[in-house]
Amino acid sequence: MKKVFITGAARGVGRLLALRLVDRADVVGVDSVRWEGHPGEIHFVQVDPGRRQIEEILREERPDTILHCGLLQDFQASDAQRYDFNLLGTKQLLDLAEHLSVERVLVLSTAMVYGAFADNALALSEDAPRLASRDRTSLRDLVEADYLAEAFCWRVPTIRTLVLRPVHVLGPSCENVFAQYLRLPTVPTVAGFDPMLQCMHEDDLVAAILLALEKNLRGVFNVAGPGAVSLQTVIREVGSAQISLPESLLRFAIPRLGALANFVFPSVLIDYLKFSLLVSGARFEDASGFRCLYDLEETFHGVVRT
Amino acid sequence: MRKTSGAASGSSFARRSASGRSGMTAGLRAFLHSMAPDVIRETQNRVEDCLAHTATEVNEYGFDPFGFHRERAKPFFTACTLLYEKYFRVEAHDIERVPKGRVLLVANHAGQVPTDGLMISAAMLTVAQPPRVARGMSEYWLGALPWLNDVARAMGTAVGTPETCVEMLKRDECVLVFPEGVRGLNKTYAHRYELQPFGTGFMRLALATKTPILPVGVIGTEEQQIGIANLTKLGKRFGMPSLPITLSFPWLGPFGLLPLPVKVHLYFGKPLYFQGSADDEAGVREKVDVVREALATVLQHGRAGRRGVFV
Repeated sequence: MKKVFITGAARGVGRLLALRLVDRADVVGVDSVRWEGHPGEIHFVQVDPGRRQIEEILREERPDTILHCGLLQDFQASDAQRYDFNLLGTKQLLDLAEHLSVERVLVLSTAMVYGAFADNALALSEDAPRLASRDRTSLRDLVEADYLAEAFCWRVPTIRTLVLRPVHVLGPSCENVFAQYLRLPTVPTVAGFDPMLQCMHEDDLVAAILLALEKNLRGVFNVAGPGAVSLQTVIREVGSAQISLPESLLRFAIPRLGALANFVFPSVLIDYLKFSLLVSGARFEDASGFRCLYDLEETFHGVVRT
Repeated sequence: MRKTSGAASGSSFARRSASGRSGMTAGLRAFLHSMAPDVIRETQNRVEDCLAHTATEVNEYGFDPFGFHRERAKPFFTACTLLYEKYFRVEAHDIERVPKGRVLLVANHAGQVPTDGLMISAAMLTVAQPPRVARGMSEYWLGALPWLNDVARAMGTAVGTPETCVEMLKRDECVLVFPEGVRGLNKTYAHRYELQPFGTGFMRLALATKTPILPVGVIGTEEQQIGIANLTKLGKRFGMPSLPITLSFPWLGPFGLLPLPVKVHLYFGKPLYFQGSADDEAGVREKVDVVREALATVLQHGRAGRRGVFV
């Protein structure tokens, strides 16, 4: 690994990766947002989502590794915007990777693509279908990007492609929908439901990615955290106030009323607040020898509330 | 050989009334009496002790990987045990036949409400030595029921998918299945103790994980609700697998689903060990029939030995 191209380099896991890799390789980072005060060794470019710019940078820099950490998982943008950004962006990036014959590609997906359903198996393997968009079209961009990356992994054998599906990532710099949900002033849950879920610390995910790169893994892997607990346990441990509300209220009233009060409730999460989504990380752990450094308590306390 | 639990550990009143009086009133009286605070406290302590002696591993927050949680389950197992000892006055026969390590309990399913699963769970927890958590494999729709899904999960039950079952067996759990499914649960009174067709899924999983199978005959629950009809289509419209019509349901509302105070016997059969390929269709069918026959024999033996429906 001589030159690394990182998408989503100004935020969350992408940023943490850029900072960790800067000692070992030339790092080229892009993101749609600014990165104030990034280290001088990192060649960072703020790009606008019209993606010609990325192609130019890639052709010029010719990286051997592409780490695609820029999938939007915070649902701030509209469905259509995210569809363009996540799906078309991933498609273009993978096409370019093939065309420019990079050595390896990482796509950082999410375990949310499996979807939360009442009849989920409780240790989903990587072969389980990604059903998250079955009932809710809001997640189709992430699901389709995941399928695209998986297909690319087997279609282009000359490129070592790694698709990781981590469980909910928590940590001071993470801007995903679940972390945002936990930071709400009062965290609403669905009355009558307290599903099981898994979380992991952002530092653990970064360590997992570095380990996977070191071991030259290819393929699709879940990355499970240190264990499973119920949603209300997470909320309590994070230190948030919790309120149980009827589902109808959460689904219809809160998003509309909340918008007036500048309170953004991620409705896309509601199924995940009702039904358990548990994945098995055994395949990744066997292949890489990865073990979480943070235990459950440390993982929860990594969420900084603002 | 015979192990009684219901009367033996209850109060003297419960013992007297269970043996002295006959008919439905005995069970109801004993049950109402058992609501005394000291009886509940004693049961709760015993349940707590049993739960502490189960082998299921949990993380620092008390959850096992499937959501079982001793603290959360305790009040519900206490209620279950009270029902077990005082209401249904259950007798568990030959429960020591349950082998150590992974095992698949295969039981008959009846009575509109799945008390059979609860009673087997209570027996495995409070009577079996060492105590075990019976991991029930439930209908798909249980996972969607508010509150009930949480309770069931904390008690160790999970929606019955093959993957979950295999994971549990790999962890040497005691998994409880009803291969008749809703066909058994919702059958009408006229068909009581007639085993419905078995699914074959459990046998494939047993073969794949080399798990012994133990038939459990549940006597009594088949008479706890007098089912007279089944409105499957209407039930589906409400998102239920079926809508049972019984003497009391839906006429009395949800209370109509309360089971009659029948006397319940659990007969644990001999463990069956199978070998072969999980993909050999004919072979699997054959082995399923062996289990079904074994369960039918256990049921026949159990019915022959009982004195009446309520005693």
